[in-house]
Amino acid sequence: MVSPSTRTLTVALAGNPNVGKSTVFNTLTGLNQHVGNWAGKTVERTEGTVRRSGLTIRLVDLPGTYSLTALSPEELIAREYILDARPDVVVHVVDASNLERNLYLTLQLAELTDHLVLALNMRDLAERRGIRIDLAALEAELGVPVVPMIAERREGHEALVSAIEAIASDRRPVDPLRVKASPGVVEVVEAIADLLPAEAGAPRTRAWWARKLLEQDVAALARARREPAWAPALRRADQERQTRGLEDLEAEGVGAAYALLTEIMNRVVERGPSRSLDWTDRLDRLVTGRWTGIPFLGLIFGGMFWATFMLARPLTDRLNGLLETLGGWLTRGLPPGPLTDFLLEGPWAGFSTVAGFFPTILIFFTLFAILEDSGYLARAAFVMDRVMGAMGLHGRSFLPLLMGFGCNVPAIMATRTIENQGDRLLTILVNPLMLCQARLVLFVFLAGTFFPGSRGALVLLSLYGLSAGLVIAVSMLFKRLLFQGEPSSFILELPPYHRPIPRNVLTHAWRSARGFLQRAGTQITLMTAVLFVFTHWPGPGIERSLAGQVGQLLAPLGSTMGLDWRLMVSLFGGFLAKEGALASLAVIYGVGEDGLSAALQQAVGGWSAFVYMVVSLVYVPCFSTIVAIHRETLSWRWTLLASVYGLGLAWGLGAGLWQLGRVLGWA
Amino acid sequence: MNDPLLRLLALLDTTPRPSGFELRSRLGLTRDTYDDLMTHLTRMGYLEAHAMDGACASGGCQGCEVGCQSTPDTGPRSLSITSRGRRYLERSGSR
Repeated sequence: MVSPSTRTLTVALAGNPNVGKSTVFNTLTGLNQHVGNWAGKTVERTEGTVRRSGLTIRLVDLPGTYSLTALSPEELIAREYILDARPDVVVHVVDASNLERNLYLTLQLAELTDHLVLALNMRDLAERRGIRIDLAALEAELGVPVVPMIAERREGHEALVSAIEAIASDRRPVDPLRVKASPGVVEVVEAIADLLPAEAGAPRTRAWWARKLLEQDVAALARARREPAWAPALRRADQERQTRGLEDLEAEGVGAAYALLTEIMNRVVERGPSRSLDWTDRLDRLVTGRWTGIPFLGLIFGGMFWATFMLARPLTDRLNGLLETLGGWLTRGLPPGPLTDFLLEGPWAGFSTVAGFFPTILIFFTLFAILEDSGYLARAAFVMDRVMGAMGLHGRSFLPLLMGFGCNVPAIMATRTIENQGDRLLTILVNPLMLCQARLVLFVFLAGTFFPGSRGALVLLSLYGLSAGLVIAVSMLFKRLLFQGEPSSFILELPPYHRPIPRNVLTHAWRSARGFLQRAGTQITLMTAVLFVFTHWPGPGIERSLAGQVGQLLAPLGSTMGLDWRLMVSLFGGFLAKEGALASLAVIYGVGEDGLSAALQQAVGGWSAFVYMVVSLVYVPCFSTIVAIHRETLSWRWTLLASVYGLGLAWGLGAGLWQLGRVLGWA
Repeated sequence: MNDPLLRLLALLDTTPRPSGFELRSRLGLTRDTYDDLMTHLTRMGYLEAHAMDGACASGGCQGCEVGCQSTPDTGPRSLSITSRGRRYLERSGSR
């Protein structure tokens, strides 16, 4: 039973999340706790009782918050409790190892109450991190008692209770440090506060509400609109805001608070050598560094292509062996005749040639998912954004462009987040230049056929480099010709590095690889069936077929780039689906993958093959991409431009490279 | 100009854009304080945040073959300076 002479105090416990506030609360109150909810909220409310001789403390544990804005229910509860319930003392529990962040809330609490105590918890952790805090200096700076604590070890609790009692009984004078506003702002705040009714609180509380009305704090405005007695203050705040240009008052307050904290931190905190960079910072210094970022990016992506190329080759060979065996069974099992010829030399040749690249796609996307899951891909985007930004291009374009490594169709849809129409159109126009996975299949095959060993990986890397270079060059050209204007600012927040989670990595790699197989089984099979008809009808022989006649028409153009008519015809297959060019080659040469390699090596030189890869990279988007471009731009004009500018570019590059090869003796 | 909030906003407006590490180094901020300042700038409407999930194809990851997995924890978040942010920089003489 509490004696009549016992004094009861209400004390609010405030603090950031994860500063040991609950430990302080539990240690002080023991089992004298009860848990409920804050009125009308789903946020838990915990209260407890602390008894000392002649003193009972009703301790209210406020929700953990970083500030007292009206951003979250927790922040609203904390500030409304202090304003409305007016506790005798507010104890701010802070993490000594992260003082600067915590003291921002101290400055905010000081705006609401004079009776403030700082419970400096986790001192042991701070010391381990080499952070030394001058307690006397901190107390002098803040103007409130500072009680050092290690709540987990039950150290400092009695000192905290004593400090609470001393402040509540006015035995300990306090004068909390407050952020100073300019004299003009103070004058306006006082004028508005004078218009608030007495029920709004003590003069300090009214001044706080007045400032919040000026800052257009959502909760303050709601209260002012709800209570008629606040109307004059609200009107005055609106008027002052407009006439005095106080739109940035809140930002100025936040900035001033952090400026003040920086000064305090410099005066009271000494950091030892253990406060060195963490490993994320150390890695970022290299990975996103101004001079190291691009070489590192080249190394990572080069390594990825090399690993894809080298790891996939034996698996692809094995899978091709299986497909060849299966093809042999089909040849022996099916009755001879035109239908069997059609099935084996058309759909089956196309499907088996493309499907053989399943391991390549699986390995490529596994490595890609590892880069994504580790947090590196975001850094790559940042590094490239800086390059693009320096050239006056929109940085936000880079992420849709990055998606173009997978498939141009979702990448074009991803441009929806670019609000500036010109920047968005520009990103759509250049997106088809990104080397997608479908082109990768063709390039891996040709690189493996004509440039064995590590030279193949180098060829792939050069094609990725060319793709990126063309995106930048064409963007700059279009920007200059079609979309002049200032690029919007763009900042990419980098997530912390993660250890890739195997399940995530494999799920995403499998999803991509499965999509590839599905397309090989449907679009590619259907396309090669149609192509078979065109390469055999009216015949006889491919030269007299429709495809052959078209090829002869294109032969003069092809010869300027060192491409024979068969290679030119295969580009039609690439228009329907980019892997379709490879399937088309299999149908046009009438062979499977192994036979195709040999047939191509006989018919085409290495430099021609490289020129063919460059032309395939650039010449025209695939049909699905063109549909996506029209759907996103809703304009035939832009769709036409996106579809055909590549033709001119492909011819220019192809002819230029072919002539260069001839001069250097490579062709 | 001692105001770290305004200095941060001004640095975010520079080209080439500095990384988070460079910003923290230049302003002498801890990672937590830097994060808090970015939160304040976004909350007050000076920066606009776009979760990269929103940049993905319709149908989310299912509709995309790039293999990425943009989640709030692992995915990048893009921010841009709003017209309000630019006005603040101009008024304060930082632009």
